[in-house]
Amino acid sequence: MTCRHTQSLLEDYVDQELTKSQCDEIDAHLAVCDICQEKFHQAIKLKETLSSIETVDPGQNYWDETTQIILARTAQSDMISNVEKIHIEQYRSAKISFVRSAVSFVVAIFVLGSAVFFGSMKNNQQSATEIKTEIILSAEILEHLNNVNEIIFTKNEQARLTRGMFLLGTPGMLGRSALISDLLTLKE
Amino acid sequence: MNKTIPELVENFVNGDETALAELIKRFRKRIYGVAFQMLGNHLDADEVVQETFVRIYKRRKELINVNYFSTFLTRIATNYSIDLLRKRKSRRKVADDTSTLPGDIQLDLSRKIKTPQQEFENKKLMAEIYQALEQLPTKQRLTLLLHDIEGYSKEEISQVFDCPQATVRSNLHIARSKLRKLLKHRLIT
Repeated sequence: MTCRHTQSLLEDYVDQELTKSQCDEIDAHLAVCDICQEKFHQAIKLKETLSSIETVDPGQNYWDETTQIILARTAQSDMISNVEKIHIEQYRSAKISFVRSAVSFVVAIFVLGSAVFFGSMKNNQQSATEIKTEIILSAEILEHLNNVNEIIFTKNEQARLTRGMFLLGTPGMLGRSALISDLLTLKE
Repeated sequence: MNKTIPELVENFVNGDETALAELIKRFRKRIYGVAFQMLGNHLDADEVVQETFVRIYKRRKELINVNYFSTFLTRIATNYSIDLLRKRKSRRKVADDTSTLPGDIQLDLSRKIKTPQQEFENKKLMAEIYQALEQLPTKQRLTLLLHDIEGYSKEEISQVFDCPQATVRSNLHIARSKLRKLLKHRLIT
């Protein structure tokens, strides 16, 4: 047996985990090899030192007291878990009612939103018709003004005039006339 | 007649409080020893003992599927001790810690102390051993503590850490080699 092989088995040898024949082989090698013998003694001494370490017993009073504390804590943990179960149950039912309320709220919002949306769609359609009418009217008025007063509005001014009419929301011909006269004054 | 561990465990799972008291009685010293070796002081070891049994109680339904109660218990104790080590980053200072403990709760060498000089030497050696142990990574240190100090078999340790026995052997071998180097002056024959 080589030194390397012996040293690889030394710990198992110290732990008494080798077969009889393996032990015999190691014994034979240790008898003739000082280096391996030294390592063997170190391993034995370390194991002996470690195995001789012991924890000093804290005493019977400590054990009795600790056992009582543990039993009290386990009983307490039962009580706590029961309280927790009740809390969890309460939380769950609160959660369910909250979800129900939230769903009802969302549905209500959706219904309301839909009503507003469809209503506004209708309004928008009306507004679009009105705007179209306004534009036609504005174009007619401009054409008329150009012809009658021989005032030539630039394209930019015409656009401003048209935009101004329905942006300011001047209602009816009266309002438009007032606005147009203002613009004419400005032009002069 | 004394009940066996599986019988006690079965009764405990079924809600028998006396079975729990008996299990505590049988395993408390073992858990205390492991925790003390790992954490190095009485207060932490006491906390581990209490917490381990409280956790076992909370997880008692799982015990139906547990083959070895003692290794399951040790696993809980070592895991909790590791948590404590991480949380507190406590550094074991044997001399300081043990001197402040009530009574004479401390680690000691089992050899009989005859003279004050021997007692002094013992304490010095213990301090050196624990300083050396502190330099090992947690898994290696635990493996060494459980095997060489607490007397667990490699199979038991593999169950505690839920790893193959080859890993235990490897950790033990590395830990011992490091410790031999660190305590070389003490091991010269």
